[in-house]
Amino acid sequence: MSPMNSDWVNNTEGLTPEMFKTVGVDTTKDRVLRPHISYWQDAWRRFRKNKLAVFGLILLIFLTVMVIFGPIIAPHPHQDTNIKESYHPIDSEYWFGADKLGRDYFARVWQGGRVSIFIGITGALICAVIGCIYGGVASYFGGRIDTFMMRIVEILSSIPYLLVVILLSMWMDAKGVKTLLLAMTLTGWTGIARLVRSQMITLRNSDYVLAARLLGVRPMKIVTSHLIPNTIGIIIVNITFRVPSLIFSEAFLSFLGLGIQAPDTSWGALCSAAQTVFTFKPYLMFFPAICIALTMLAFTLMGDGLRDALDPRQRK
Amino acid sequence: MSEHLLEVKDLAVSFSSYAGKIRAVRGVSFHLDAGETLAIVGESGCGKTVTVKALMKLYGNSAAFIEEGSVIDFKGQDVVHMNSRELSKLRGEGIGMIFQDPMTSLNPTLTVGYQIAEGIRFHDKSISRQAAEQKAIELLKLVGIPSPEERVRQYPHQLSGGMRQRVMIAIAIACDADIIICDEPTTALDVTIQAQVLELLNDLKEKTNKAFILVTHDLGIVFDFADRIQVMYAGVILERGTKYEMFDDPHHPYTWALLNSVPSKQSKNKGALYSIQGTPPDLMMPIQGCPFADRCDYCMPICKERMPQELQLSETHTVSCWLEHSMAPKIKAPSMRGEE
Amino acid sequence: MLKYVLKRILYMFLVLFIVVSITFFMIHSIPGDPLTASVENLPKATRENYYARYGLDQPLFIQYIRFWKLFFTEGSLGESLKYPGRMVEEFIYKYAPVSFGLGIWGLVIGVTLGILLGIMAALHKNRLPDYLATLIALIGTCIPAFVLASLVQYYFTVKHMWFPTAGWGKPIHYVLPVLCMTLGPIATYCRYMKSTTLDIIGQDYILTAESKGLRRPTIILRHVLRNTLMPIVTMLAPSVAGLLGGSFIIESMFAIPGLGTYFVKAINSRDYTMVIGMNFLFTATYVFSLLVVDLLYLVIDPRVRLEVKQNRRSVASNVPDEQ
Repeated sequence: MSPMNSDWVNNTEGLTPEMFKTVGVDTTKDRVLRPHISYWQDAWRRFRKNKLAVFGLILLIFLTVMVIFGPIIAPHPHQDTNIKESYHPIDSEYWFGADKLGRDYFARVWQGGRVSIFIGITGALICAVIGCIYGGVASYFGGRIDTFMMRIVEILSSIPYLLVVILLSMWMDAKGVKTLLLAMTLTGWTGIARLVRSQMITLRNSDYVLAARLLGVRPMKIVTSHLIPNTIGIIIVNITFRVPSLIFSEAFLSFLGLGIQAPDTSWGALCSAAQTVFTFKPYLMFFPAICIALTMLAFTLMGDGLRDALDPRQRK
Repeated sequence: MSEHLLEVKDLAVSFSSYAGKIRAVRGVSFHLDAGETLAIVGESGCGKTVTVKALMKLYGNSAAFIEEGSVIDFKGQDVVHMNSRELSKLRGEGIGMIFQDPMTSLNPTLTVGYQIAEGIRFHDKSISRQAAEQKAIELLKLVGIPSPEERVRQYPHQLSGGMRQRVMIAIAIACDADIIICDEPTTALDVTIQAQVLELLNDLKEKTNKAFILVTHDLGIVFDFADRIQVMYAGVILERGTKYEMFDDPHHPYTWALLNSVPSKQSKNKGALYSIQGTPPDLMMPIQGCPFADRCDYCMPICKERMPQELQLSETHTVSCWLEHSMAPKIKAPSMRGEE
Repeated sequence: MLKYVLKRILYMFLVLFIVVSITFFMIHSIPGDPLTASVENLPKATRENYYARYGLDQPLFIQYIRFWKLFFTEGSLGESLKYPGRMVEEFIYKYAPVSFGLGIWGLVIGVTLGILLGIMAALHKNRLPDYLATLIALIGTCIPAFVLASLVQYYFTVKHMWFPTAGWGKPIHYVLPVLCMTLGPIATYCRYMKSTTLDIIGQDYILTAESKGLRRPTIILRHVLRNTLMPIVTMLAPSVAGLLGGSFIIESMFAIPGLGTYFVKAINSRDYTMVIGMNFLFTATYVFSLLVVDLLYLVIDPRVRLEVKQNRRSVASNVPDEQ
């Protein structure tokens, strides 16, 4: 707009005196611009917008459904061996074909899935619980107790976890789900303990917690209203990334022969068994391998999406 | 070819966001001459920072772009259509900038001296490392940092906030730019340090013939430092003039409100601090009428319908307000600070 | 500064010592012993002879002392229980280089490619290079190494006989195994680099650098990269340790005579000395890489240097998380 001279000031064309009556501030307009949404609603909304993350979620739901119902809807029970049907090809009777001992591979794969996913999720949850408690306690006490507890964490982290798993499986001499879980959670909680502790310390020193304390809010309320909600996000993301890592580890260990033993099965064990005949019967490896890959994909995509969605700094 | 050092006409800057186009700057025109200091004043979000960043096309990471039809003329050059090489030359050599937060505006892994010398060496490829470092030391001295020979090799985290801002100033003037933009240079500093930094800027202003653009929401620092003031709101300029015109004879209700908000010893309202009701409008929608209408004490129905045009009150003083219209009630500016 | 470095090195040895000790006691408390793993019913006398020969009849603590004595006086880790007459360190000298070599190649190539891809993805966000890089990273994350190894083996050695299926010694034997080993690091470093780079590009000081007139390549090289190095270096330590672990599978699939194969055998046959000895090596590698990373921090980040000078940095504070 270039400055003009005073012509428009005197131009009364189409203007009425009503238009120039003082009205003042329109107080009705002083409402909040955007509707009130809670942190979780906002996070969910952001998550939904992330197409990849939603895809991951759908994929995960699909896998969960298959894992629960797969062995049930399969034409043959997963543990039934039937040597005559050894290596039966893929057709309408054996949807994924049959393995060396004639077992319905479709049923076996999804049965194995139950074990793999169970280990993954349970392991991650256990690690999270232990880690939270440990980290919370350490940050609560602070001082020397905190330092001592953290030293233990550091030493534990220095131990290559593979070593722990191997030793434990040798020690317990039982190579099953329980051993595996124990081995993987024994040192797996250190990461989340650190996260929780550092987050708690940051929060405790943050301005709004200080404000709450100054206002006289009771400590318990501070913990539940401020500390926990702000930490849960991080914990959830950590769990989501841990699960595929644990599934992967389980697969790796089973491959080494340290994991699930026959007749129980898991995706890793299936891959391991399939490896020797891979060149002749590739499908025996493909199905469990694809399942592992899909599961990891699903969790990874979801994890990324959750991390972005729960980051309070990105609230719009 | 303009007779001014910098001429801006109908500048419009928008952002594309996932929810639509945000029109941050909606048609702003002003000019700047050598040796002048222009202050752009307004609330957060009024578009003042976007305006000055556009002068160097410094969008950073944001999805901002200058709308067609905007004109930015610096020493006869068309900034809007500059290519990256020309832009590179402009930045630092033609226009320098001091940013708001000195804590985050310096690279923590490079020494202070390096960051100052970096610009110098970029714009003058013939200068040697040592010579550039020498120059950096001189600049540090100029901005009032003690023991510059030591400081030049230190890292940003070894300096206090006030000192870091001085380093920022040194960086901005390192290549002898004609215009120095100060984007809220004192907002992130303590009051006492604020005064020191402002004194430094004033000092520089007197010693050199550089033009300054000061962006701030704090009217308190504007009077001493600026020659001319323009008040922005929701991406448009509502009033502008010399500092005397703006402080002694403000015409726009928003200017009145701003002046009133500055707490002072002579404040009439002993007790409650004055604050303007309401919040700035949503910049994603086109605004009908005057953007300040909803919050204006003197709002009239016509204000909500049409945008008032600019009226020239003097050679330097313009205002865009329907109150200037012949049919509007004659409102006298309410008494403000310094008028008791 | 020197004091800090020395303390840090000492700390490393301390951790190593603790871990090896724990390993030692754990292994020896495993039910069953080398004999039960191989042979079922042995006459008592033979058994006793066997134990006496390896000192397994001594109280555990004595065995422990003897272990360290042997290590410090002769640099030996004891005799293998499974391969009588051969010392554990023989195996290590012979086969560790193979595993390390494989691992290092995989890591170096993987990290370099990963970093490059990550930067590319960050700079061209939401455009083709980003999608490509993300895709590669996803594949690397989601497909287990052994699956990949099988696929690769099948495709490149069976279907098209371009490469030998197994074997070791000539450069051509390296190609496929190293390829398999690079995918993991590529994926990890690509994702991390992308997110770190994006983070840094959004920082204020990048804007300052732009305002000086600096061109994009300079800004990336000088300002962005320096600041991304820190997190990347942090991740290197576990990666190096993972070198050995990851190569197990690849080694077994490509029949490469490396440490991994023997390690697994040792576990399954309860070859105590072998397991302890190799674990010693693995832990030492891991802990040493942590040390290197910590010392690298000193070089890269001036803030860390300052912390050390002011004695504000604990020796144990930067142990990164596993994986």
